[in-house]
Amino acid sequence: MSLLRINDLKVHFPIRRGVLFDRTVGHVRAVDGVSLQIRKGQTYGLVGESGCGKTTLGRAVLRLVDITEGEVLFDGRDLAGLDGESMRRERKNLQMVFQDPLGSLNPRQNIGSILLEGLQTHGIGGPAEGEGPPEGRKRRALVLEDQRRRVVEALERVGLSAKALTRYPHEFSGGQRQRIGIARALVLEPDLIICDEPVSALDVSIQAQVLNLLEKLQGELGLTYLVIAHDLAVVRHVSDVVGVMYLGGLVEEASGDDLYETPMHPYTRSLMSAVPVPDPRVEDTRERILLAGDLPSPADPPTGCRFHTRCPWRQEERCDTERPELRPVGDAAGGGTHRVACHYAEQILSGEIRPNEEMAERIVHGAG
Amino acid sequence: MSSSTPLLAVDELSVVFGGHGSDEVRAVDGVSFTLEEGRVTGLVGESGCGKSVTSLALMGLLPDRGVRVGGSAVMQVPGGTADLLKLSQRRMRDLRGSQMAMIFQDPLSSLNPVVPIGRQVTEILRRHRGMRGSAAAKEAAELLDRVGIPDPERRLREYPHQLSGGMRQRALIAMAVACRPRVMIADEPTTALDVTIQAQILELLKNLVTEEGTALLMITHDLGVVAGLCDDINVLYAGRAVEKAPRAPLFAQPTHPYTVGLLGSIPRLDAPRGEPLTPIRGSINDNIAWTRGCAFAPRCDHYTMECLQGPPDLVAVGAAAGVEGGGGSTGAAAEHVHRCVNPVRGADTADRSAPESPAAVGEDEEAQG
Repeated sequence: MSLLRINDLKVHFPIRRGVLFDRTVGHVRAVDGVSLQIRKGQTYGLVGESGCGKTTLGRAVLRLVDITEGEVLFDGRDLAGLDGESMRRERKNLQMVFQDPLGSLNPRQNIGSILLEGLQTHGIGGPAEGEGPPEGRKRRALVLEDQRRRVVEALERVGLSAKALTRYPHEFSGGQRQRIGIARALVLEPDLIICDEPVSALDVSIQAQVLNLLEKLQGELGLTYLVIAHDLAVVRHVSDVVGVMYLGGLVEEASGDDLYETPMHPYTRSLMSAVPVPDPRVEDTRERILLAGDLPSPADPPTGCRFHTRCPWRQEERCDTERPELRPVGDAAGGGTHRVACHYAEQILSGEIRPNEEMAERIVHGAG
Repeated sequence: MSSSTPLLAVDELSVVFGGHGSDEVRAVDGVSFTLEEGRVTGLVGESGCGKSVTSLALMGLLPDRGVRVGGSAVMQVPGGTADLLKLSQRRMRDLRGSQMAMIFQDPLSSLNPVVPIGRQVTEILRRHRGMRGSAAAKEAAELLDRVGIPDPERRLREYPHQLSGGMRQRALIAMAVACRPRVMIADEPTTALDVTIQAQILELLKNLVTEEGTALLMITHDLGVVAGLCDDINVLYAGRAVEKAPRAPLFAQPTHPYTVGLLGSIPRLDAPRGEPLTPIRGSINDNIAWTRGCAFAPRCDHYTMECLQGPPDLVAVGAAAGVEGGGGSTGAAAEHVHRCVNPVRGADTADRSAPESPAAVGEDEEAQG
């Protein structure tokens, strides 16, 4: 059962020119036709380089940016069609953990007030409708007490104590701030948490603490995650399913192990080969595919396959003109969930199509 | 130059910030290492360990006031040797750019946004090589071409904001290598870049070292980058080197608990999935002064009372932890030292399992304290 299902999602930002006349001269196609689904209790990892649209995708799910086209089905309801007020109510089920833990916490609010805010906005806590004392001071006290209990519980889940309540964000270290950001998402008891680069601002040793915490919380609370990150090693470590994005589109999607063992899209292969491994023996012997050039502008994406301008395996004609669809590959019998957007994925995998030496320097460091 | 005399020998470098009533901060506390021709030396550590301050001190870029720099950094310069820490500003200006160069982390903020790339590159050629006009422009275009910037003539006329991140870093490297410096310092040169661009830049740096024989000091927090590039590695913690080794023994048999912890904290792309990470508990703020004992003790799983009996010395790793599978570990620098009285033995690294809860408890205490 998929909790979140995204169908052909598009987010285009207009480029405007002119002082007197606000003309739209083009669009940045930040997300351009992405379809994916996330099953309940699983972690979906979205990986890609800066400018590939992964953050915009995450924000579009929460409707923090306007959706140009497509559907976002959360538990069967289409979020894309909701009006502002209904969406606001829906957000208690979808929470976000942001990249910059200091920037996403109000420096003038203490932790207690930051964490209570969501509960108060959504009117969570206190005795159920029709129970307990009616409106009045007594009821308000009960509500506040219950909300406080929830906040403390969330703090304890992330490894902080109730003493944090009266403190301010600047009094905490980076790792602790990120824990507070996670507690803020948890306190509303959401079904889905979108983590946008949850650890990239943290030191290595703290990163591991936060990653372990996210995993522990998922085990305890049955959370569903959408983890967005640029670090393939981090994404693979936490995710059940990994999606690789390039220039606004999903180019490959597979289970973490599948993707590592048989990456099929040329972009995934080069991305994988570029990730450094902390082991000199591996570093010295493995093959590296160095891509030439930079990411093209999403305002003017290449025709056909988005990757064809940098692809070492590019073939004549078809790659330049026809945009490949994300299609299932491999053995469907073995629970085949491997999808790839490349016309020649199988031929490249079997070695039938050789890479073009001019497009990429292939470097194989000899052993020793 | 024989390889026995290092190009730059840094000995007991220390940098102290402070004065005016506030507590002194010993950012760098007795760091020693050498740079040799055609070799890459790495300084690794988390934020706050003093790695960037070390590089600024060597380049003479620290402010004069409120900073005390100690130790020595003797560099081979044309016509003898010079201690970089004691040279006059004027003499340093001559050396910077011509004999030593630096590549910074953030390429956008280290380029002047209102000056075209061409002017910024030719500035160095003018200052150090006395080139003018079209000769300088031609040389600048050649430099950009050498670091892999396509269409260099056009790029020379452009401003930094018109270049992509990877291209800016290349332009910076072009400026750094303009006078063929013998020592290059790269301070987190790829941290702001995407992995595919990072791979390009690392390859470029590697080529510079092997082809030109430049000595490179690589400062980074990324152990993956270190594994691929550095020959000798210094792991810093709280201003001191805690472990020091050629790369093969360091990664095969790390002995300091901090190094072991760092390696256990990184999710590896080639590791089987589902293995939990073994992080170091607490944060870099949980340390004690080196004078009282090992600064890492509060976060260490192996510490005993012995660790708190004064500062531990940098000692050679016991014969038991010999060099294994040593690819490029031959040479004079094949020495593995650490600053620890309770090092991790080979067997421990395998079955080391950090308890889950102490990490949270450690942070808890800090929040309350």
